[in-house]
Amino acid sequence: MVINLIKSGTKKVLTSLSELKGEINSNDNYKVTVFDLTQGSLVSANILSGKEVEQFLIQYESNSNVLVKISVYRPKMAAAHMHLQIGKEQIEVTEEQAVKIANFLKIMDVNIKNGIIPEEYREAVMHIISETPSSDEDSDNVDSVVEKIANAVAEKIITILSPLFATKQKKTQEADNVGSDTTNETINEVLTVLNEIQHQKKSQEQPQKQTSNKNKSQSTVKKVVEKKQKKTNKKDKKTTTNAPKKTQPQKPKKEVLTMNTAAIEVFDTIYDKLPNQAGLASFLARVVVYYNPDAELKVIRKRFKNILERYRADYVVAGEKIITYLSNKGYNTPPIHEAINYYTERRSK
Amino acid sequence: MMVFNFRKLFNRQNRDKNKQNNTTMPEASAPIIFLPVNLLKALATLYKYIDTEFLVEMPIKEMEKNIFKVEPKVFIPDMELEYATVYAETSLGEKTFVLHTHPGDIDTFSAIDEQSINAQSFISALITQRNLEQKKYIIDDIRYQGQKPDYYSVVYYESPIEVLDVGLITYHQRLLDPIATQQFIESLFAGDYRSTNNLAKRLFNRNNKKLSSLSM
Repeated sequence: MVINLIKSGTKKVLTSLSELKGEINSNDNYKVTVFDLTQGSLVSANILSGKEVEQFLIQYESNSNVLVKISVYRPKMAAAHMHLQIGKEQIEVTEEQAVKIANFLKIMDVNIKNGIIPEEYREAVMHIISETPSSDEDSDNVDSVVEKIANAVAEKIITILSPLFATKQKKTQEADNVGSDTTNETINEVLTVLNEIQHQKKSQEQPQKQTSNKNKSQSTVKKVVEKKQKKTNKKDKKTTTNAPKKTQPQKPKKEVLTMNTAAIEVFDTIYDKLPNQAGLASFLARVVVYYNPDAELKVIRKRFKNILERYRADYVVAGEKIITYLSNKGYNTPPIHEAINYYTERRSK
Repeated sequence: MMVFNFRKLFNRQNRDKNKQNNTTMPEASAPIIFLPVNLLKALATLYKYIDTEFLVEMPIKEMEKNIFKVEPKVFIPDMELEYATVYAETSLGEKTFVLHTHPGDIDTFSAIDEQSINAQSFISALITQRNLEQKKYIIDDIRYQGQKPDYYSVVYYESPIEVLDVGLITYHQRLLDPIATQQFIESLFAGDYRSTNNLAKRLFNRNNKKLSSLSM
């Protein structure tokens, strides 16, 4: 056993446990890390009191292939800058706000270069800051955090991506006939809703720009979502009475989303990181996680990979299987088929 | 190695300060710190590979009152690194010099820095990532015994740096291979760029775009 003892600014190399006597202060705590030199691996890392160190190391005393590092443990010394840098501007934030923004950026899979948040996320980040109270109120409420992030995402989509929806819609109308009526109806509906939100947002902002009334904007988003849900419910009833029953993808337990509500820009970023066919499962999993921040990327990705491998000859079936899986799990169901089309279209370019 | 008359510098520093304020400056708040510039050069190389904050701890030798030489020995504690945070949990002991880096060009200590790292360190310093990347080897701010000194000066000297120990590093919530980390840090401070580059490829994941743009 070789012991590297870091103490009082120096490193002492000891070759036996007996040399440790007098070096360890029983009142201090130490971090004891044990390495297996033959395997080149970490065996254990423990925080022990001065009294426990020697006792703990007895088991390794006769083992010549072990390296033990002992250094003074201290309660975590933190350095964290609570300034965010967006583009060239620095913004001071509270820890809570920083955490929420970090979560949001993680969900969006934003590439943070040199600690600088890209300029295009300014609006979403500023929204989170304005939505997050600087006091402790509802700080532990995870749902509210998710809701706020979702709202921020929604706002970002509305402001940045709405011009893309029209183009996307046209493309879909021209190219895709599978379930096009219903899809386009939904697209139109969502577009109307988005325009409505944008219109309301603008009209709210103009007279009351200085008094930041966050609750109002939140409630408008909620109202519109409710309205949208009511409309889709009505439509569902109609289609079930008029149209003959067909085997359709299982109705999801949560809200069904369309590509319109997806942040295409974000997907572009994700796509760029997964430029080959094998990345489709990963891409779809990220799309799902985007809509379901609580979903575990790894689990979903693995599942999708299995499904895609099994049904690789037919992406429509594979998409349906994925939707069924998500519905069964109670996740929000993003437009999987559209996401697959989006991915394959981009690949063929 | 730079030869320097400490006392002369110290007296001149006091005199200049007194001229400005017309008051007697308390000696305790005017440290002169001798720092091996090789530390900053190594950190500049490190920033070709990482995109988080980073922290190093070094022993101090008090040469005269308020004149400190930061020994050319570096200790990398066990720490967790994120874009804008670093949590260190082992220490070299009392009276050390702790340097941490800030992302971008944020050249001031945050409230958390003041409460934690600055309060716990004898001398705490920061340098911005921007400075390192632009090879501007200048310390941006210093706290001395937890306080902002009225005046301080940093004198840089050339010296190879010995790596005392490298702790367990968690980089973006991923524990780096400890043996490879040790080798990486040692080759980094030894100025062995080929090994540093090869080890960096092993250590940091392929999503780190900095690696792909590397031209070493």
